[in-house]
Amino acid sequence: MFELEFLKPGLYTSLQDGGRTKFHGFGIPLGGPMDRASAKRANWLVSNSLSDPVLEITVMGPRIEFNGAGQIALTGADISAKINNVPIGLNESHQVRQGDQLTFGRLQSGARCYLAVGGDWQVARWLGSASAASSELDLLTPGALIQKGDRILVKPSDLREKKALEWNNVLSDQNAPIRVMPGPEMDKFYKSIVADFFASDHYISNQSNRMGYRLDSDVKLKTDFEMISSGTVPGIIQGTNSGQPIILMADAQTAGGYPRFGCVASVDLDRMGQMKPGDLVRFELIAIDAAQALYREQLEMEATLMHSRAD
Amino acid sequence: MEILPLGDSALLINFQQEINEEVNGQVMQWANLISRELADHTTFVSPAYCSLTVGYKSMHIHFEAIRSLLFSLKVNEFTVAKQDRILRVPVCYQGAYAPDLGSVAKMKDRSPEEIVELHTSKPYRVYMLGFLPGFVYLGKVGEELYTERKDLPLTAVPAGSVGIAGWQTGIYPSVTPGGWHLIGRTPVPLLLRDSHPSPFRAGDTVYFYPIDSSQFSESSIQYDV
Repeated sequence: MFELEFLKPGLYTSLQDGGRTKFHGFGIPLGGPMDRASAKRANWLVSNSLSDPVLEITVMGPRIEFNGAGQIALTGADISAKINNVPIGLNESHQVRQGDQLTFGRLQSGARCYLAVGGDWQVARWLGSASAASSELDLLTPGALIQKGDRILVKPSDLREKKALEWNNVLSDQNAPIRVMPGPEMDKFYKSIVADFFASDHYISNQSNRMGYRLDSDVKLKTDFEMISSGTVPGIIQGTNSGQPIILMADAQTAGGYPRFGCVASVDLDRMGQMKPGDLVRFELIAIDAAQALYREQLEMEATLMHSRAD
Repeated sequence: MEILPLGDSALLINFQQEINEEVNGQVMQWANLISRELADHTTFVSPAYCSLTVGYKSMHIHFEAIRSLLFSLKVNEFTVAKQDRILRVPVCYQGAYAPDLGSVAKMKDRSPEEIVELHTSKPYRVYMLGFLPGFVYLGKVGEELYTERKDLPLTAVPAGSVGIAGWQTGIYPSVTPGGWHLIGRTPVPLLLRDSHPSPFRAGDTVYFYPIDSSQFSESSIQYDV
């Protein structure tokens, strides 16, 4: 067995996998990594199935001691990871031995780093997923939100192929505008508000987490339109009573009564997931056809990259 | 019926925008129909009061293509069998389980017993689940129980609390902030570690029945199918 022992938990370290896509109608958030592509790459690097669990490490990393030998990989945010005080690279697999310690330092880029471990994670699952439940966590997914002293067992795989990805990191175009499709209620907002939203600088507020990001800006996304509670998905931008925009993220509630101004294109959601409080974000309108084409292109590129090199 | 994109991987079907059983019945018929006929293309089908959210595999099918498929389903609209279930849910309307029963009774100029009688004498429809995992939106309460939300939401509503607000009544499945008037509490677990995460489904009919606090731990939901 290969064991991860958490000497420090980090700021917010949770288990994430493919999520619970089929239970939206029961009010259960889709969940899963905030940056899906990075989580998949981490799993590929250790020869796991791409939707296996990973640890999502937020801004400040944990301190992990390994008991046994195994293979790990880190992707996403650069939080100055080290093994036994020696810096290690992102986007490549690393062998670790009994007693090795993985630590993190200063956040250099992004917000969320993904740690994959080669093998079969011995963790609780609810509705087919190891992702930390957004409510009743201790009952439904005990152990999925890392606390000091926690231990996670992974049955290591025999495959220990050393892998690396030359990844054109999503973080490199962090400053490009986030593309947004019109939401079902965009036409309920004054045209001037719509224009202002796309012309303005917005900042990710301190009140932001896996459920959603609040935006600080001069734009008030306000409308008098009264709507009846209706479905939401990650990426939806809501106007609220105060006018402060909220972008729904991976653990967002499945329905809401706020007008749905727009929706972030899936191709840009991972980039959104790598943002943290204080970060600047600008938005650009995109049509659904273009958004779907870009998303397909991204998924195809990922598949090509990971399959061809996996052989 | 109007079909709109909800981002690039989900769509929204809007029905007549009002809260009533007839419209919600249409929502449920379409939810069942789509779950059955388009399972290969969809990732989830999620009913709300008067709309339906459908997740689909945008990697394989464009919005316009799935919209056309949805419109072509229309001919089969009435072939879907209704799946009515009646659930009888135990609620203790006493003491600490019912922190707002007294204030609601005062507000409505009735006795607490009359409020309980009004709340338990009527069937409620599960219009939708949402807001929180497993939270059921039930309606509608009678005119005598209509209330505005509380001015000051409670920061931690206990799990199982049965509340009323507006024309709605509902059950809090887990501890959460909430602004509804809490008139009772059910002992039944509302979020399950099962493959079926909630005892409720949208479209169910629910009756509440009163239990004594001494029976609290041994009461359970009764199903009349």
